[in-house]
Amino acid sequence: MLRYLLLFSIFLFSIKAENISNLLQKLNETKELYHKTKTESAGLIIVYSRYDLDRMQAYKLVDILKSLRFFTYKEGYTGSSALSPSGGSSILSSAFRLYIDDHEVSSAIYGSAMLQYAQMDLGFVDHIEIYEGGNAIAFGDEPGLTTIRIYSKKPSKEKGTSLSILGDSRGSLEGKICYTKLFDDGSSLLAFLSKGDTKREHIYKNGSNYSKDSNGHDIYIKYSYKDKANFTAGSFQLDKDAFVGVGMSHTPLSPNEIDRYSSFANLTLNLPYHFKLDASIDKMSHQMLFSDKNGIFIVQNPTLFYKFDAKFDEDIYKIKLMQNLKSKKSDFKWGIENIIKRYSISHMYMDNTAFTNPTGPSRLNISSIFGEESYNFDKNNLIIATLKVDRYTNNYNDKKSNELIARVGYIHLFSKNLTLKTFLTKTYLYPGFAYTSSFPNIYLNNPNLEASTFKYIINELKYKDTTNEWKLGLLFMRNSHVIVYDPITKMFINQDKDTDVIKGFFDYTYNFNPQNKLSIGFYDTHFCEDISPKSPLRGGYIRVLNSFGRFDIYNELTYRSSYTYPLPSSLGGDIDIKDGFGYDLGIKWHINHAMTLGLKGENILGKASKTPIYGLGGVDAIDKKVIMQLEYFF
Amino acid sequence: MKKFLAIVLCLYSFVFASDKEANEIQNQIIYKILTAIKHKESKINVYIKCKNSTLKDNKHIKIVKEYKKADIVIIDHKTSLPGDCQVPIFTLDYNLLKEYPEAIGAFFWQKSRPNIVFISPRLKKFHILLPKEFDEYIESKIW
Repeated sequence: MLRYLLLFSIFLFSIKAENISNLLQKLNETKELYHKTKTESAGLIIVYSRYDLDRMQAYKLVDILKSLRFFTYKEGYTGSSALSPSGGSSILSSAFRLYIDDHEVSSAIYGSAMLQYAQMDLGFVDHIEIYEGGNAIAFGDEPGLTTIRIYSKKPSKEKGTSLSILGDSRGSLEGKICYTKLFDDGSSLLAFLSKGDTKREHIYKNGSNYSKDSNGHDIYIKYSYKDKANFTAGSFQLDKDAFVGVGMSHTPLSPNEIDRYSSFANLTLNLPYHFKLDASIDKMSHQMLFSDKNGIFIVQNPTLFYKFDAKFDEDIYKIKLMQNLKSKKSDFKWGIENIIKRYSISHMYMDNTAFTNPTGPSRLNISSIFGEESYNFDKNNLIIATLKVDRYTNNYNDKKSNELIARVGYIHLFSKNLTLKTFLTKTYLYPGFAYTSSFPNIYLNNPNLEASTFKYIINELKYKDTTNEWKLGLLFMRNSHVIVYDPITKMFINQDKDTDVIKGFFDYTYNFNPQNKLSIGFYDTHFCEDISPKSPLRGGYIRVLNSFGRFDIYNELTYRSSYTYPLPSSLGGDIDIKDGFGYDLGIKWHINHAMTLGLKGENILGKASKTPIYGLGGVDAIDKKVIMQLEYFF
Repeated sequence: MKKFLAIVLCLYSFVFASDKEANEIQNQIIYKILTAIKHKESKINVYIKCKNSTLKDNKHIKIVKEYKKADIVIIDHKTSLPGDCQVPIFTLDYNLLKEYPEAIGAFFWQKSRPNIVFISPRLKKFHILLPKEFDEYIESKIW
């Protein structure tokens, strides 16, 4: 009896001490979906929970990408989104793999879907997980160095429909609806639509109006039947003004635009005996209309021309069968997969003359077999071993290549607070059609281009208690057969020399209480040989998330180091990019439980890291603007 | 921290542990709401009509079989209550606020997070004055 009284007193004391909003947030944190989706054995993880994304007012994927460690967000000559690895250029972007629920969205031509999906609306997203340390088989599909997994909202937790309208100080306007429904038979539906016009900062120079304005839609549907099947489908359209365009003098005339459209459908079936079947179709098209009063130059055409009109289409078909066998100490996954990638030129005209003689592969077949074992020696030691063999064949030169992904990981718990993760990975990146096949560009295609390989070891020491969390990480990477531009042959080639890179990072989070936290992060990159960095080598962030009563406040300062972007004197010479300090401030007012008003200033200081564009110098990739969103939930 | 290794091998046990923790916090929240309504920290008499509730496991409330003996009635679905029920109702589903004029507030999941809402005219009707920390959860009408 005495014991019960004592327990009851402790309970009373604890709840008296605990504020009701803290308790609500504690409950929220316990039920966050990422607890069920994140895979510690898959690498080093950064999680953006639903609570954090809401408070950060992250409306587009770029809002997360811009502070991603080891990367800098840029927008190139045509205004297209790209991520540059620290020190590197943004040319080979297949290092990024992007998943929406179980489906990987990609581009057969450019290697990565970032061109389009960086601007994807996050209105249907519950949380985001970012993995470093090589793909785990659990994610499968194609190799990459960093994997971003986006998980959609769960209808059983959403329980309603949200309507939002968003506008910004540049004149953008967007509407969105996210509908969820739970059916009596245990199935559920999520349907999301956003549509709008995005206005960007215009630059007027040399008599030209450089614009990155865009419009489009994002549609995402997910239908789940209990735990047995998931069907997802998406349709994403982004029609964008092509900024300075592709002319040599950057003097674009109208039309000057790139319209990208992608759609996909994915079916996942959970079968008996722990088998899982995934089948998907992706379609993407790139419609380009460029004109320039001083002419456009491409290597494939000896004379200048003034108008370019082309449309490329690409398809990706995937089928994957996987089995997951679990025992007391072991978690074993194995499977087979087949991917077919195709591209075609729908039409291509230069000054009304059709571009002929396309060369290089237009179809790629990838057959894979893979296995991964996670074995718990005891409660403090976990070992992970991964092996994947991919066989590539194409329809151009009967070239066949076998590529290997191997990974060994070790996770050790020193104590309940201190963890060590180590991953030793050998992987590769395969060039997209844009480099192997004939596209009009300032370089020639190289059908004999081979995969570049990456060997790296990545370590993370993590300490976590109720208020503090810090992470210290170190990565050593050796890149072989790196794909570089060769000015003599005017094509991309595999470099003979290896490149060694060392990267380190430090992250610290202090939780004042469940509703208020401060996070600080810093990273640095060191190349073991002299190189001219094409993007910042160092970066960091300070992020403060607060909730007081009905208000959420978000402060973030993102830092990227200065560098000098090398350019030949014919293009105006090197461009100095200064240290970048991107500062965002957001205030969210929960007017009542159903209605929310958000106000957010992006790049308020106007000093976020800039993208080098010859003729213009450094240009903002993130506009200085104020965004307002009103959301109604019912 | 040790939970994370278990994720690899014992996902289900992790989910179960997480659910157990969540239920415990949920019970704490409900108890805090009830003490705020009744202004007392001894056991509160509650008349429950819930389909899925862990309230029965809550050692800090006393479940009564007659609503007349209750300090408060808690419901999570549409159910028949005696016509002369003059006891304030607290619901675990926001939509039930529209169904029951005696319902003073709700604790419910929506938009992927737990919410608390009290309707101010109904609080006044029952002469309930909530502590200041509940101010942010008081709304003037049902949406």
